[in-house]
Amino acid sequence: MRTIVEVREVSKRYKDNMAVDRVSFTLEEGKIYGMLGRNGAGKTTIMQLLTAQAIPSDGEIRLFGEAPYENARVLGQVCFIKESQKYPDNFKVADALAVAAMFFPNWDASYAEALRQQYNLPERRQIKKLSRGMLSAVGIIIGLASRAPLTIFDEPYLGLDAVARRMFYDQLMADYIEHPRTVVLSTHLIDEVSRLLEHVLVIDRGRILINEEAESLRQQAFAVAGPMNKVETFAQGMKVIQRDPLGALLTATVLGSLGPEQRHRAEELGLEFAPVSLQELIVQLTKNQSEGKAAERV
Amino acid sequence: MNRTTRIMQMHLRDKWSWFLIPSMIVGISFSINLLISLFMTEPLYTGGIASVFVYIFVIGILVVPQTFPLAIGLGTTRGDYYRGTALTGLAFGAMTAIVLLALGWLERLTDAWGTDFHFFALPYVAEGNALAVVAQYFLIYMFLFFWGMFIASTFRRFGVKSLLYSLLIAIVVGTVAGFLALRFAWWEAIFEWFATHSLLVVSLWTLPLTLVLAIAAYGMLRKSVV
Amino acid sequence: MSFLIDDDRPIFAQIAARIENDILEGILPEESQVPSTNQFAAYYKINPATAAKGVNLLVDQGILYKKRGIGMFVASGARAVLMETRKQQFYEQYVVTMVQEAKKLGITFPQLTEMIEKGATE
Repeated sequence: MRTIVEVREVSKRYKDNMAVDRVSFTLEEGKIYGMLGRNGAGKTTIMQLLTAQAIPSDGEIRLFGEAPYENARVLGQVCFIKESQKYPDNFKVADALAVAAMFFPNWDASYAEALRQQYNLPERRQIKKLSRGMLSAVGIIIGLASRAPLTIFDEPYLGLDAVARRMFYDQLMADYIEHPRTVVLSTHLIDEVSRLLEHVLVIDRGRILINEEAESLRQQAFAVAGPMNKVETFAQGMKVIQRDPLGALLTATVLGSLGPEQRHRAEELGLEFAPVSLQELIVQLTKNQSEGKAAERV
Repeated sequence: MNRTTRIMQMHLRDKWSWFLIPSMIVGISFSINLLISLFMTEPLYTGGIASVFVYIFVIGILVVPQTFPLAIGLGTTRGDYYRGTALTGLAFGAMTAIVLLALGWLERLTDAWGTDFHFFALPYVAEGNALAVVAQYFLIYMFLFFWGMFIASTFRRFGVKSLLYSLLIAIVVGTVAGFLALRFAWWEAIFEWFATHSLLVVSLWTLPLTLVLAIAAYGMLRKSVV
Repeated sequence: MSFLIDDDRPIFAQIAARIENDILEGILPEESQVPSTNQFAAYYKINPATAAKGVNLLVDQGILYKKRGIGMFVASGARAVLMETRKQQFYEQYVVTMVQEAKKLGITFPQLTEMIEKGATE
């Protein structure tokens, strides 16, 4: 697969704050990436750097093999939908879509129109009079209908209810299958999107904490529950990232995959297993990092 | 589609800011003064036409915060945005200059609207040949447009504090210069210079300033973020 | 096998298991075409790459094979292979555990066979 994004040792400093700290990663053509992490972890800054909307303090970025800054050839292939996008005061919904149509060579106008109707967006309504959810819908429509080879959604669903978010995920999947392209989804609603993702980047305090395939990440942790002493016996020598005691019971979240041998041993001890969701795993890992514990990289 | 013209098309989507509001300002100013002139026995000269130029200064300031974030958000380069925006300003400057000239002719043709009301064909302003009149309107328009854009770009690039500092410096410099002019009786010379030179010459003197403002605005926008 | 995907096991493994079950139950006869990865992805709302991983797992085992430009098909003999694997799994998962548990409870072999016969007739 072709690498379309290369980020090498990129940093972004704001006065005394390192928003992005020597980050390196690559994105491959045709995959859906999840950029996950807590608010303020540096996700948005990384995406702004990728799209040359912010300028790195250090390091190198390549999009489609070229530096993106002031590079029309490269930027024309990218669509970056961000939560904070501003529109001119006098613009109506129709104006925003018409302008977007001019800027994206792969724009599908009939698809955009179908989406507009699905989200019940009044064409003649001024954008500044839209509700938060409707404003998000404008971004979603532009992001999907642009069919840009690299499409980035940064928390695109603010103000949308669960039904509308589900609609967005379904549309994204359906359109991605028809028109494969590289998608980056930045979100903290990890459970909602985890099945859509092929690859996960977890950002924590300006750094990349995890850069893994979603499927292998899912198998990298499990929870084991039972009487405290038995759980401790079982978990000896394992990487326990979380302990939740309840009276004499203990649930331990363990890093590592569960082999048949361990499963057998746990059954002998009378312990029970539970899966650990992607969200749970990431929450635990980022929490440990923030608490300054020695959580190792998975 | 050409990358610069699509920025122009983006601006033209906002018909209110570029076309309707300035037309209304001039239209209302003209109508009210025309009405007043009906009840006056002596001739009426007003400078209502200046509102067009004040307005374009405001547009120059507003256009950047209104459209820069969208253009950059949709993947335009800062250079393309600047070229498209500057060309939009140039196009409207030329159009405005020609319309004002035509309205001046109409005013002469109708014998000052029949009520001795002078709005478009003012002495000193609309003297000289057609080309000179169009050129002077255009040059003043562009000076004010880029001055506004310069202010907006300063804000974009360096934030609100930079604007306050610039304002402070402008006030200090202005006060000192005014005081010196008074102290050494330069005012008389300044007035005389304006009186002896046509508006065309005066407006030609804005050209180097306009160029400096335009280049500075470009330099700042190129380094601006959204 | 449920018609829905759960989060207990890797998604690709669930896709593979789903296809295996359909073959065992005859829903997918041998030499018939298997839904495409995109169809799986659209139906289960999962990433197509994940669905492909599940399908490829079965290709590697010789259960499915690829016809160029057409799609994935169930191999002849796939059902017998799966049946054999499942029988082995059944033995390990249920029989071995059952016998162990029976020993713990002091159930004799004749008692155990009697229980199985009873269970089978019910």
